[in-house]
Amino acid sequence: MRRRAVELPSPRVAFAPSFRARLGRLLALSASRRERSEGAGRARLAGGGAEFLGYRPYRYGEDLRALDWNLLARLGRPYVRVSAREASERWVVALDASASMGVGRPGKLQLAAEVAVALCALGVRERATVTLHVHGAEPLCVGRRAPAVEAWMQALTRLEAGGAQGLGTLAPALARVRGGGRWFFLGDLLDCEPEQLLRLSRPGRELLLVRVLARDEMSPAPLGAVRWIDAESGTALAREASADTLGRYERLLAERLARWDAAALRARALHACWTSDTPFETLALSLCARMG
Amino acid sequence: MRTHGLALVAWLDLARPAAAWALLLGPALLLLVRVLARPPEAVTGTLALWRALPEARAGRAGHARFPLWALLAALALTLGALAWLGPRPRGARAPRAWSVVVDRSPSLGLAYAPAAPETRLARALAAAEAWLAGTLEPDETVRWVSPGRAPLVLARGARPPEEWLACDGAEPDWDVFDAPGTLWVTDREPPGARRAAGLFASGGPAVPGAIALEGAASVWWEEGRLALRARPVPPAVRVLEPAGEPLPEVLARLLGAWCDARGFALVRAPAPDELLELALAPGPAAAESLRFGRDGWRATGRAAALAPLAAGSAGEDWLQAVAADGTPRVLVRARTGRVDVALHELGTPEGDPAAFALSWTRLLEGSCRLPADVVPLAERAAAGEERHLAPALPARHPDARAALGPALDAGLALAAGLVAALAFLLRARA
Repeated sequence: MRRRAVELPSPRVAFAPSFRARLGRLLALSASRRERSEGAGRARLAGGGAEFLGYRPYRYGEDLRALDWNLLARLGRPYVRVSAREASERWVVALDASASMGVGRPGKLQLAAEVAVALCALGVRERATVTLHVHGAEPLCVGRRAPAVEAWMQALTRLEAGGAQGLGTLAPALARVRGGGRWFFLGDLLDCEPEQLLRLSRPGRELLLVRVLARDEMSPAPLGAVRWIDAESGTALAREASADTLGRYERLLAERLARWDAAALRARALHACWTSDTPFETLALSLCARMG
Repeated sequence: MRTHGLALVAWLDLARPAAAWALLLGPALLLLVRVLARPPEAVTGTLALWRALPEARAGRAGHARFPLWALLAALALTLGALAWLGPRPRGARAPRAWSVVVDRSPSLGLAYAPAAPETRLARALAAAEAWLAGTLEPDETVRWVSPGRAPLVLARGARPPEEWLACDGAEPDWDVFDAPGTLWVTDREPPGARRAAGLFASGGPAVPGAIALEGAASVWWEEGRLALRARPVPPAVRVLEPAGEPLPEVLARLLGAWCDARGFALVRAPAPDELLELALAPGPAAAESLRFGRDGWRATGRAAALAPLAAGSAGEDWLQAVAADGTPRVLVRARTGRVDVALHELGTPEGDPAAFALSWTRLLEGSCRLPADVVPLAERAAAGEERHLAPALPARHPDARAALGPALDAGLALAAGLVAALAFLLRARA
């Protein structure tokens, strides 16, 4: 094994020209799905911070179903109900930008960044304050309004995968972050154990652990003898990528993922794994379904 | 076919040694395959998982370090390089034919120079042998030829025995021996054009000495002047008679008178300076009486049998008769230095007695050899400058193994092509 400078396959983030259009369609799709689910009587105010807090004046363009019709009848002016989720919901998005996120084509950081932007857009639409944390407790970006999405995209474009500080290293700093009804961890989760992130769980706080792996990390191809280079340390290791060896690799990975699943289940958190070539819409919609 | 090649090893020659660089193509291909076949590198974040797996070996068990197609391709390149090099078995070169023609005339036996101990023949021979030693290949032989001597085939560096080289012969007919690979060993350059043979002539100044016999004296030549010098002992004529069988009286009287007249000693025991041996063939004489004659005389007599003349031997059947059954009988045979007489009885010759005497004395005179120290004047003359001229090199005779060269090259090329095709098929299927 030897250390060497590693050339990452996909260290940077670049949003395709079609990304904004796709994001718009995602928002519309998630909204229609939510309307259908709420219209069917399955409106969920639960999920952390859904306590009724009061009323506020109706704003033009809002969903009429949010109107409190009783109050309208009594006062003759439109008001809408305000829940704790709506009033003070904060989403925390922790993004792993370590060197291992530069692996894969497309890169893991690319998908994580797209999902982060999607979460920003979704959160802003839900009137949540969405903060993006990459390097510590101080947020890289804060999103409260729709224009924040563009700012997030620009900030993420300036990111480059590197270093060895992943979510496991970030977790202690994030412990100083107060509040946040939903915490999203976007990364490969390869540098930490479940407990390092799950200890951030609090009452009223939902943790969603989103693992992104490269296709070659999830299911390596049978290439024969390969020199595997660690993205962060640069150490090299010669291992045979044969059918027998790959079977054992996938079993080891499955065991690791199962361990995370079990830990997340115990903490009532979500742990899911996607490959970096997954469309961000798929991942985001899955999270939306979880969130309700 | 002559291969102008390089002797690579003791048993192999190369027709085109400049193509030796091509032998590096096969190993170069294998090196290239090895470099290109290095395992790919892949950046990953799951190195911890890979570390838990067994280490990859340099090559899977049971599989070659190099793929089979690469080994075959390298073999094809090597076979092609060998075809280009043109290997030839060392034995494929046929030996060349070499000859040495030795002039054994008396002048070659004279000293090369007054102060030099070597003879003209020894000097010329040394020069010829030195040239042969530097030219002949180890497995080539030399055929030694001289008039009056049986040819000898000797290995490189060998010389005929001294008795074979004795200077008592005649000068060769040089034109017969003018061919490539032939060396003339003599003291002076023969007249006439020399086309292909080589010449190793000793040269040498005139050598004074006896040039003729005058009875018991020698005619001495020195600095252009002639003088008579008495010989220490008179020259001798020896008679060899079997026990109890004397020479016929007629011949004995004639022989005695001739010796007296010439001043020769007539002896019956070995003597120095023997000019002639007259030997009576051992008997018994046949009962048949034969009639014979020549040169104006005739006689009768009885004779024993003379042994047949050996093939290639010098000699003349001087007197013959025909027996009653028609078979020829040799009665007198003569060669230089010896006369063999088969007549045990010789009757009184018929006809002019002078004719009989003249006939026999001519025989005796003509058969006498010169003493070793008597060399004719022409032989004692100066032989000119020393000359060494190499002969034209003889051609190699076609050899069956030499003809294998082109076939061997073609075979190697064909093998290279077949192996290359096989390598291509294996690579295509890989």
